[in-house]
Amino acid sequence: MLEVMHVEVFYGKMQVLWDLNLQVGVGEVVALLGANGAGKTTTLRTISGLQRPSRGCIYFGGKEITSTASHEIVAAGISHAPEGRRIFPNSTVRTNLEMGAYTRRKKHDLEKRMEECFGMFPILRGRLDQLGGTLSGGEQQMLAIARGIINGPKLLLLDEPSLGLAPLIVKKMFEIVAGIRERGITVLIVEQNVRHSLEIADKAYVLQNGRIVLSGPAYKMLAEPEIKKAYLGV
Amino acid sequence: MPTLAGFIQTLSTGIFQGGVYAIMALGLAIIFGVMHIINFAHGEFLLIGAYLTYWLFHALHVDPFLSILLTFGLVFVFGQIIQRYLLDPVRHDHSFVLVMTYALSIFIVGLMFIFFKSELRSVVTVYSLWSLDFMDADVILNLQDMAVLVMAGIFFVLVHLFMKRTWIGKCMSVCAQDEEAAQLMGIDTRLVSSLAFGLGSALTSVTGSLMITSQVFHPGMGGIQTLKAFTIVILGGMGSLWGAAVGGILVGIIEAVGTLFMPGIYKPIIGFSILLLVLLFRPSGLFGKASV
Repeated sequence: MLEVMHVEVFYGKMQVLWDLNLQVGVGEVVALLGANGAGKTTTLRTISGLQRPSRGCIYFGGKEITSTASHEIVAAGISHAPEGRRIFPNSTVRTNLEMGAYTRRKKHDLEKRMEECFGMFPILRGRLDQLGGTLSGGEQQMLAIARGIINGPKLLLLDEPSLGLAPLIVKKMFEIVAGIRERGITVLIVEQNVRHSLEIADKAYVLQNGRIVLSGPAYKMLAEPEIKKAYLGV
Repeated sequence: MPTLAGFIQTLSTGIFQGGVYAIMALGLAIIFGVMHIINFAHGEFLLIGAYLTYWLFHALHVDPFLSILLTFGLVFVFGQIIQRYLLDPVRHDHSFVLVMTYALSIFIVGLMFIFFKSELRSVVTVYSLWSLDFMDADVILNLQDMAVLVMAGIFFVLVHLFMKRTWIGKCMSVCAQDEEAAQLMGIDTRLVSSLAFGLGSALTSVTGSLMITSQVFHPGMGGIQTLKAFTIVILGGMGSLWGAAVGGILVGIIEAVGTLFMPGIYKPIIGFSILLLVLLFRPSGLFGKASV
């Protein structure tokens, strides 16, 4: 479904991704793991068109999207719940969700889609007219994810959904991610929470200093303590 | 010491003037809020509106209140063209955009001097002098000024509804808050920017159309209006629509009251004193941070 091939990304003169290759298959949950500054967020930003690679190419559903504009990539079916949630703080929860459904605005099924979201995130129903900025961290993360799936994407990019959340909410967040897969949405998740990620993922890649140093089935990585120690620091 | 009637008269003059200031500032607030750029040519868009209205009135006898619609439409398109072909190509660097709008300002002023010369122009209609008297004719309210204030109010309400109720208005609002996150929603932020610039410019030109019914214009007057618009937007809080409205009325009133104590020629000093004081003591303005 998603294929990233030989991608190299620079910030000015500094290279942050080196010959990056990864594949995400239909219906999979793929985890992208690694320490701070390894290039995980940059990888997601490059896939969604916020960052341009200087070499390499990206295919989605058989079509090249390497230099496609961000808003067209979203319309093609890739949603991105970015690092730091990035909800619109001065807009209501309702407007935040409406904007998430922007690419489907002509289909006139907004109310139905919102109801579906409330099925997953019941707490948002009561918050509809509240400003996004007044939500708690966990609620904001739920809104960010709801905003990502309300337009019915094929692939969801999730950047650190558990960051800064209380342990109990973290657990819930991973249950939600597993629930998203059950709805037929493929997930590429960036995380620092290695154990939880590997438990829900089919496949994982480990990034170190902008290079993929390890990849394979998630269950294998969970099972091999030496790999965990060497690359994941757990 | 001014009398009560004198005070009411001054206050009403201030409010009438402030109403049009508010619409001009609203235009700037939208442009700054969505695009985060400083538009030095803002006052020139006001001149374009004023001269379009002048020309339509004298050449084709179009009533100034009617020509507002035409002005709005034309400048809405013109603004988008400017944004797309002059500002968008340099948008990666804000200082380039700044210089570009400054160049645009000089260019428009130059064209105006060629076509309209440096004469003072205004639009005087048959109803320009109709007025209502109060308090034994000590307070005189001009009907046209009142109509202008009503128009300003209508524009403010329309813009407010547009921002809150329509898809494109909401897109402008969220672009103002976080452009990158807006892109991730699938919004074409470049298109939204150009619509925002068109809308902001059109509102400003409407201000010019309304202003030329009560004051004289010459092509060199744009710069002072630009600075006034910035004063109001900074006073109200960068990017806040309500701030622009309240700030506009406030500056109108302060200017009018000020002219009770000093000659009208010093009016700009009052505006810039406000600008300096706000920047020194409350740089976030009356209504805090951006919330278009």
